[in-house]
Amino acid sequence: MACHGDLRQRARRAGIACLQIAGLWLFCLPFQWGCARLHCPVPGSLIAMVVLWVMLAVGIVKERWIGQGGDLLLRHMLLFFVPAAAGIVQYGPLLRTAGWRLGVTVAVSTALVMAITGLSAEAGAGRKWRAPVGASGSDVPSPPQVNRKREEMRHA
Amino acid sequence: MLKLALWLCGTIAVYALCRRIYGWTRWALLSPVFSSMAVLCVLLWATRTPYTEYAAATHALSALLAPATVALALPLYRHTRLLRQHGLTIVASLIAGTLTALVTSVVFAQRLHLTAAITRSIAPRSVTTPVAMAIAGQVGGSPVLAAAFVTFTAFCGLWLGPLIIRRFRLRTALARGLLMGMGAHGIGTSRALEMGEAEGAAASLAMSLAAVITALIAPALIPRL
Repeated sequence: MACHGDLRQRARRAGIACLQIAGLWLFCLPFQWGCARLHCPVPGSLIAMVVLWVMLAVGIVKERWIGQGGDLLLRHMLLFFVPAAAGIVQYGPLLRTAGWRLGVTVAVSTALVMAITGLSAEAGAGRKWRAPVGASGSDVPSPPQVNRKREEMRHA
Repeated sequence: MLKLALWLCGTIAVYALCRRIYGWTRWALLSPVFSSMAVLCVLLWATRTPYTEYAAATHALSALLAPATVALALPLYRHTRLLRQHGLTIVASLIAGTLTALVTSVVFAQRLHLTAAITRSIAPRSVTTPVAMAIAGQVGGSPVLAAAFVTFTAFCGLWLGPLIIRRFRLRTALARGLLMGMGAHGIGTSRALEMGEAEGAAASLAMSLAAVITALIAPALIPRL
């Protein structure tokens, strides 16, 4: 009986997550449509993201309305990139003729972009903003030694 | 019809398996998006399936990218206070990152004697695919090529990001998130979410602001390089 109840609970939670995902999708549609109509270079989904952020911050939308479905989507976001990534299969001839030059350009440039962005952000933020321990995001810095040890373990 | 369903289920199965393997090894090159792509490319090649057919079959997955992008509002909302506190740093480092991306891509491509069409298409490679395609079209490059470079950039970033974080001992979630979002856009953002939710929030903001900044400055800057 307990097992039965657990199953029902899980089905209910999955249903709620699906409804919330459908809600996020519906929320996004008018932005995508509007951006396509207005020939806006920034995609509608990114504008919808910023608008939803503002609505959450102001309190028009409550986090619990979209939290479960949203977190589910974020956990598996990489899956949604797989079909587009497999599109690289079409560029076999280009990669054969200019492959290494493209590789060098993209890799070196990406490394520079990341280093410059990361170092300037680190310099600007100082050491104040450390990775929060929990998901709730307290900005109380943890003791430096403990923190360093944890960071090293994370990248071990 | 059966074939379409097979590709869709196959993609999910390959991803699930790759995710499991990545969970065991935690090796950057085995990141689920990277290994799934490799497996699927081999499958597509072996079955001689045209990519357009595969893309149509997996449209449902690509379509979920839009609500997933909107869902990035959640980490942003949960870390609003911290992001506001460092607004100036965020904007300044993203402008620096965008300029680096545009200038170095074009200059390296020219030095390595890549064709003008490739140079123009490689310039906006550091932003999310739809923006990069639009900008490449505006500056006289090929949107299709730009999409390929964006994907390639994401793979480089996925591999280089954690190396750079370690090399420069970047400790703040802000710096880690911003560099992943700036350097590797959407795929980098999902990787940043793996590091932590604050990193994910910074990366989401970086990805969207980088798109806006690039859309504003690239059309003016690229023809002058």
